[in-house]
Amino acid sequence: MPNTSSSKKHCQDQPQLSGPIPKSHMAKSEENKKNSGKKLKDVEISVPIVYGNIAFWLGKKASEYQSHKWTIYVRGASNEDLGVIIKRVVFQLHSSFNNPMRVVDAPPFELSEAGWGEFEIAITLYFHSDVCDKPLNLYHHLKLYPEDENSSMSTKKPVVVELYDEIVFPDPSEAFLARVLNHPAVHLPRLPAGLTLPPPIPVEDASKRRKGDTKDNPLSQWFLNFSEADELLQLAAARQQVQAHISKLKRQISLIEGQHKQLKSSSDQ
Amino acid sequence: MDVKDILGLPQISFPVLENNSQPHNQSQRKPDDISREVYALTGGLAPLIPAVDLSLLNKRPQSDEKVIWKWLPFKNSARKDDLQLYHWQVQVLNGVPPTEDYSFAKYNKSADITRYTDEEYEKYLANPKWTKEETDQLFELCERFNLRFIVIADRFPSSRTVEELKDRYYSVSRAILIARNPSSGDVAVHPLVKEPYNVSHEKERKRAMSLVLSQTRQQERRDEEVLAEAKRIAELRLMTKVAEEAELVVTSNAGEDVTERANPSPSNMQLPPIVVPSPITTDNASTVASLRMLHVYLRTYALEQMLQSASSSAGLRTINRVDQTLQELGVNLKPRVPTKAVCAEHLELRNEILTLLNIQKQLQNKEAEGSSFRDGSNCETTGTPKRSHRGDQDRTFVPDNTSSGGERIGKRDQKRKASGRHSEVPSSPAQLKRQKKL
Repeated sequence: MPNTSSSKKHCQDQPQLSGPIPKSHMAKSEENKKNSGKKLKDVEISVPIVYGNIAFWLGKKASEYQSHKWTIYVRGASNEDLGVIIKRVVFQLHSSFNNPMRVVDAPPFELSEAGWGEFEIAITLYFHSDVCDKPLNLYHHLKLYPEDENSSMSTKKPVVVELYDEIVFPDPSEAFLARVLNHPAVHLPRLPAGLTLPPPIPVEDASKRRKGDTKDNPLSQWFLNFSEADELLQLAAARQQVQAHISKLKRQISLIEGQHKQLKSSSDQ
Repeated sequence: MDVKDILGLPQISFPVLENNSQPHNQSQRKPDDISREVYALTGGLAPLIPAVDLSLLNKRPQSDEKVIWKWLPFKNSARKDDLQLYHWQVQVLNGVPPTEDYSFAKYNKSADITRYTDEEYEKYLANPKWTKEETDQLFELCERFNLRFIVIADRFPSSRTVEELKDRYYSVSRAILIARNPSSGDVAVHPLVKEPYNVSHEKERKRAMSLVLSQTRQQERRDEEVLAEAKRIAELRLMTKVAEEAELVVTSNAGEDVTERANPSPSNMQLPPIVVPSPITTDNASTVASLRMLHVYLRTYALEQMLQSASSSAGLRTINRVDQTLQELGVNLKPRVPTKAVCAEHLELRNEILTLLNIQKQLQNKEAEGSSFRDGSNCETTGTPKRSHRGDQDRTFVPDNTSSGGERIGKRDQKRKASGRHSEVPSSPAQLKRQKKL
């Protein structure tokens, strides 16, 4: 299974706090329903997402108030279905739009509109009840016009701005964990040995309504790739440099200290 | 700009109409009935409430009948003499001349000044600083000039300040009022009685006003700066106080059982949080604890929190230098792919850069120490054999030493001679090393 991230480095960072608290300390309740309230303190679930917008210039068909056709979206980083975690997404558009609060109830979580202006869109992610009670806010500045002022706008090539981020659930419930155990959209650390999870309770299955992943979304050809490998390499190289510099300076310091000592001892005679 | 906005009426939300706040905005359309240049005089914007109904301006009187004007006498109740004046009046159709009072007579108002009798004066109003004569004169002038004290002060025979005159007038009036109505409760509500004139307060107030008015632009600016600074400090203090309280809350909560959902969980804010989690957590563990409190957060948010907690212990300049170093190393200041591993590496890298900067500083200090160590003239204590040695070392050093300051050359003359040849040996490697570094 590619998703059980035994190959990933971050699992070694677990746990960050003092060791796993034995389950007997957790609030146990007789009711089965309350069992979903049990949280695991040494497991952290992260969901990599990419959010952003794609904007097409309408060219000849553009009018003064509708010069671009744009789509704002939240997708899984590798185009996986986010419906397992996210129940619905609310996009808050500029007040000049009709019904500026747009709700998307099923994946793919995207919204298409036509307009001429760039503005900040507030994206609120609402999760399923066993995932998290509180919504999460993201902000994205809609970009329609290309960075380079001189480059001409073409109807074929859109302006794409995407940002990578990860949603982190520091203490997921067991029910949530059971449900997403093998899902490709979710990154799990290595689970503690002997962890028994209750059988997964399916939530309202949004995939019955629409296709949840964005693998064959017509826009997927424009999606950007985000690989952590490059970044890691960059960082590792930088760290090496810095470390080398540090040891060099340390050597210099010890040398000077040695000299001072010698001078001092020599003048003491 | 839209009247509907001000009145709070619902707007018709066509995207066409209200794209005013967008960057590619056109200027507003001018109303049709006045010329473009005239409209531009108003600043290109419509007034909130038109002063004159524009359509009326262009209207012409429609009636065809002739209007007849007559030169007629009129009554003016504002005049005290019998002078008969005339003016033009529109002749009304039925031929009867209007007999109303002159329309402006109603504006002839004057202040209500109570005059005292001589007995009253002797009984209540005697004052060492004022003679009866003067008080009489004052009241005369007050009535004549309708309590315009500046004019009264001008006209007053003996020179008295406006405040003194006011003081005398108001205290006399007050005394009279109270004397004439000792038992009546209405008097107590009379403004004269309720709020007596306070000379010193008035003087102070006028002085302060003149100070403010006469402030130069410079002083204004300086005052603003000081106020802004004070506000900043007050806010900082408030923040640290809140942060301390929040820290206590956070660290005590971290130990509790997180499964208790009954606890009011802090709202998950992506904006810089105010109370919990506090931005000024100095401990990495407490940042982590506060993140856990959120139940869900973004990786970039977590990274920011860690950075903020780190930067609160370092100074702003240090942070800038770390950023600069990161840029020189070709690393993004904010990772483009913030996975868990990448964020961890990023934080580690920042810490290492901090260490590097610290060590650089240490090195500089050591070198400075070394140079002052040898330069014994910096010390003010009495000469010791130790220092004489160093002075000698000075002499041997100076020709080779390029990095040490030139000021030592002058000072070595004060040193006593002593053998210091053995000191040459350890010095040269240091010299070589230093020159190599340079």
